[in-house]
Amino acid sequence: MHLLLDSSGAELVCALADAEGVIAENRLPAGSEAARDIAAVAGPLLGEKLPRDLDGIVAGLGPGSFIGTRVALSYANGLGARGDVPLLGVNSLAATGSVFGGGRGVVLRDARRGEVYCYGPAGHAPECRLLALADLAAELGRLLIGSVVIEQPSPHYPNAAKVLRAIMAAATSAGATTVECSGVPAEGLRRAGQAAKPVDYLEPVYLRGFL
Amino acid sequence: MYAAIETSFDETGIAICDPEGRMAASLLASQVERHKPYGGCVPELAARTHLSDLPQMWRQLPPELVQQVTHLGVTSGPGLPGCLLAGVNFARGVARALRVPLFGLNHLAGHVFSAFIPENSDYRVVTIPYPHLALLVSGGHTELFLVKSLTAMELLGQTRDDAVGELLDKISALLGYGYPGGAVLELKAREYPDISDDARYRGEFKLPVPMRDSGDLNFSYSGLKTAVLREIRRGDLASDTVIDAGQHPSLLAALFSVVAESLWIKVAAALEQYPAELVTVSGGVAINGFIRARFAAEGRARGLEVRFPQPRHCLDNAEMIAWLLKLYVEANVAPVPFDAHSNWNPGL
Repeated sequence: MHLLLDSSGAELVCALADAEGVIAENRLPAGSEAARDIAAVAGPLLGEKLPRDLDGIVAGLGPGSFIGTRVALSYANGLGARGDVPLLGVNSLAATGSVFGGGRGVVLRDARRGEVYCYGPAGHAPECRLLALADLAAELGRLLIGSVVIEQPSPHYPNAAKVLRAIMAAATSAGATTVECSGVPAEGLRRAGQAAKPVDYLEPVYLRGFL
Repeated sequence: MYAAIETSFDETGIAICDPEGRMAASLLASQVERHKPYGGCVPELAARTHLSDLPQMWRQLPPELVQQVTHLGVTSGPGLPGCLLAGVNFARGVARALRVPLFGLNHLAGHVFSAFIPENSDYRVVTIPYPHLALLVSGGHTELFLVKSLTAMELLGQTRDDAVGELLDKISALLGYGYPGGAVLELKAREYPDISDDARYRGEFKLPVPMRDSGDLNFSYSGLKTAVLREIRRGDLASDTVIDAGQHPSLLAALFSVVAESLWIKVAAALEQYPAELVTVSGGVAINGFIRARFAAEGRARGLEVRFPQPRHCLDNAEMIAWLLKLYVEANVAPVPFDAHSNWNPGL
């Protein structure tokens, strides 16, 4: 049994999964009052289970909102502080891509400040990067990809609709088919976690500096 | 055993306090050197550092001690939002793993009650008298509280602009002594010989005592900063010529004398309105020897008890949070659901 956590995107995701699939899941819009206490969201899923009763904790490392991403990672680090449960970090966009787009397309997430987090396509190096929104159409055209998965920005973000339209327009002008998703799918975290190596503690994927 | 986590600003702290108030474990990771190149604390860098430091530090605790933890406390405000969230959510995970109740505790209350933490080598039971006055002076706070009980503090006055520690950091930057400024400025001021045992200065520099006649219990230090800058530039703010480095000790002695005076006159005014037999002075600036000397002298003259925390408890630390947690549990204060509150003032 694995606990799956992600707070890097538009939704807080808490789920339990076994080798067959996701067993139970709680999702809340990021930024909502209820989503501010991840322990209250994860607690009912865990019931009487302690971290040591789990086979591992899979957590999305982003890239995404700095503060948002750290909510799940801090909690997971606390759960694993005694060293009695494996901590498994996965790229949140890779997790999304493993479910939507057949794992072969590009996954895009609004990075605010006129920029977009871009993951894929498979085999592209670097796998994950930060692109200017203005350069997105040209980059997607250069990559000659068939499908683009676009994560809807948090509805709490005032420019969410405008940014989503701009990303959609860039993907369409590059000739890609688009798929929208509301957040990181728990099944994607489960799949990505299967290939993850245990770490001492979890840290986000930072594609921006701290200044 | 009472364990506590502190991440409100740029120090990562974990401590475990035993039921008698002794610190069974205490870990503190300062980020000062990381932030020094930027001239002050960079909030995002601080939050990133807390996230990676906390799990590494927790694993340094002796496992047999962790097994005895019965309550966990975490600073939940005030502080930098990203830093608080890193600590609060880590604590939520640890509390779940240990199956212990989690308390969200106020950083300022931690400072205020740090004056009562017993020294491990000289342990004795301390009875905290109420009401008493608590002056909190640090890089982010200059506040005067009436402490009515463990959980009831009334804010009597606060700075209208810069905190005392912020003033010292800015003056340090102006004089080229770097960040943080308090300790290095005090060392420099100590080179000036003509200052009395109770921190009264009789030298060439004449600095105004801020808010002396304001008629309230508030503080203000932006004007004093400008006054010091004017002295540095030989009386003309627009001037490019500055005083010799040899005059810095005298100017800084004058500054500390005025700061101590400005703090004391507000405490004295508060004592007129709220008679108390005890005043505590806590926070990072409470390390300052000039302020300690002035308050100690005033206390002796009035028959007033003045308590300062041990120097290691003046700067941000987790021991004060573990101590506060112990006091809460002993007073049967129940844990309640909480969130990180960057502007949580316990006196409002």
